[in-house]
Amino acid sequence: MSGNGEYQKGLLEKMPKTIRKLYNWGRSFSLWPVHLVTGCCSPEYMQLFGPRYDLERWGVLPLASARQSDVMIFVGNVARKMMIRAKKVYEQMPEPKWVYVVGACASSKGPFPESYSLVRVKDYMKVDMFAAGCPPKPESIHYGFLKLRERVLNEVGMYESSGTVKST
Amino acid sequence: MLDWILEFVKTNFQPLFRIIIFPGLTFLFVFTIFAVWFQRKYLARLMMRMGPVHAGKVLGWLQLVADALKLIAKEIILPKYAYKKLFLFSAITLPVIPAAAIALIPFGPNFAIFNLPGYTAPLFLGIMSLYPIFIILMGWSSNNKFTLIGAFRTIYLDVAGEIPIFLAVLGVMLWAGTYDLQTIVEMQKNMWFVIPQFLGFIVFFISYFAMIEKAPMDIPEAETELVFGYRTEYTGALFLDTMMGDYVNVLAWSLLMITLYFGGYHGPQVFPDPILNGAFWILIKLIIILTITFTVIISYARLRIDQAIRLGWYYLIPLALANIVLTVILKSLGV
Repeated sequence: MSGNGEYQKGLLEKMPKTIRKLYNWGRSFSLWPVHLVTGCCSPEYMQLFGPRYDLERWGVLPLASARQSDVMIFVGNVARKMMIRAKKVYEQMPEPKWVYVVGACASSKGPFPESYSLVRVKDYMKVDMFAAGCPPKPESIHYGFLKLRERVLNEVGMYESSGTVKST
Repeated sequence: MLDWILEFVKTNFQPLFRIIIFPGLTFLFVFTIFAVWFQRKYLARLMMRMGPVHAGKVLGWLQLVADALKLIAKEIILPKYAYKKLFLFSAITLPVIPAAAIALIPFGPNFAIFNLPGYTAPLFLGIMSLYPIFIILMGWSSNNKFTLIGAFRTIYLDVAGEIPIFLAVLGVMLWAGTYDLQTIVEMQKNMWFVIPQFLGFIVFFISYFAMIEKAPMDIPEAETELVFGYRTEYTGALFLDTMMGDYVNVLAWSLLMITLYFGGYHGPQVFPDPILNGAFWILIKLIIILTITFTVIISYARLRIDQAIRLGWYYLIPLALANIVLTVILKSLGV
């Protein structure tokens, strides 16, 4: 899978700047998340697609499958066993993909620094955005999405954000 | 070379215009983009959300362009154990089937892509009955349990939905006394067939949701049970292709509904040109049908597969047969 991505990288880096900007614009307005419930920040995350916060204004469409998604979202604490499954889902996503980590537990083990079972996501894959808080407010997650959008919009290399996955 | 092309375009302007611009290729693309945007926006408004807003400033009208750009540039994953040739072939060919059926629909007096007098209504149904076969091929060749279950559910749903819809169309053909869609539309100049064929229309309208595979009968791609149904494994541009097939299918069945029951291109005189007038009215009717369809999609919960089959076999087929008997009696009485 990574081989295909490398091939595309070589192909697309030769593109003219205008076309790359066009693609970045398209991508920045359609960041489809894959909703993997790893922990208890997910009630905050679920509100984002309701009437009050409505992330679909920015083109964020929650779909069922990882095969069509762009942003991997870790919602809440990630246990060591969950990380194996999460990596499987991450590897199923097609190549321009980003990782968004929500909550203190998933970013830095939060209130459980000496836990035997929790892991930090950033030890396993390259993370593009963190949302701080325990749990973060929906506004905070929303703000993180907009920041991630800006980052995608100004990306220079086509696939610089995709990282390799380390083994558990 | 250039002269030859110009000469060819000049001499064959009418058929080329039909194939490439209006009821043809460009219209299909524009319709797909419009329909998905309209669905997302309308469903969001019914949920008291805003829907796409920021892509393209006004009402998020560039949202689907952004989605298409992203999906085209995404990686295409071929699953390791998929039957790769069939996997690619079935997804790429999927939108062609309903598009070929649309070629038979009259958009104005004698203005169809394929002006074929005679058996156009049975030919339409025959072409459309190929569509589930490609879905089954997609589900089978992906070599994934979710896609395979989705494909099997498509078979069940087609048994439940296709027979009533064919019987309903048979009722219309008996009432009109012809197989020709053009003649059927011409006969509706004074009275739409939804009035004499009301029973058949009910059957058609319920089976329509089984044929377009949307809620309440989106059983093949039930998101809460099967991940994305038969299109789970498709990524990037192939996913775009399958979605386009889906919406062209919606377009084909909606156009058949308009042609058979709602007077096709007939309507009050707005434009002096009859073809322009016909196209205008058919598009207006199409938007109304789409609005009703999306309202139903958002209002009803999904049926179980056995409920859908019971609906098809116990209620819709007897109703359609009753409609045929009624039509024959009315015709023999000379109404």
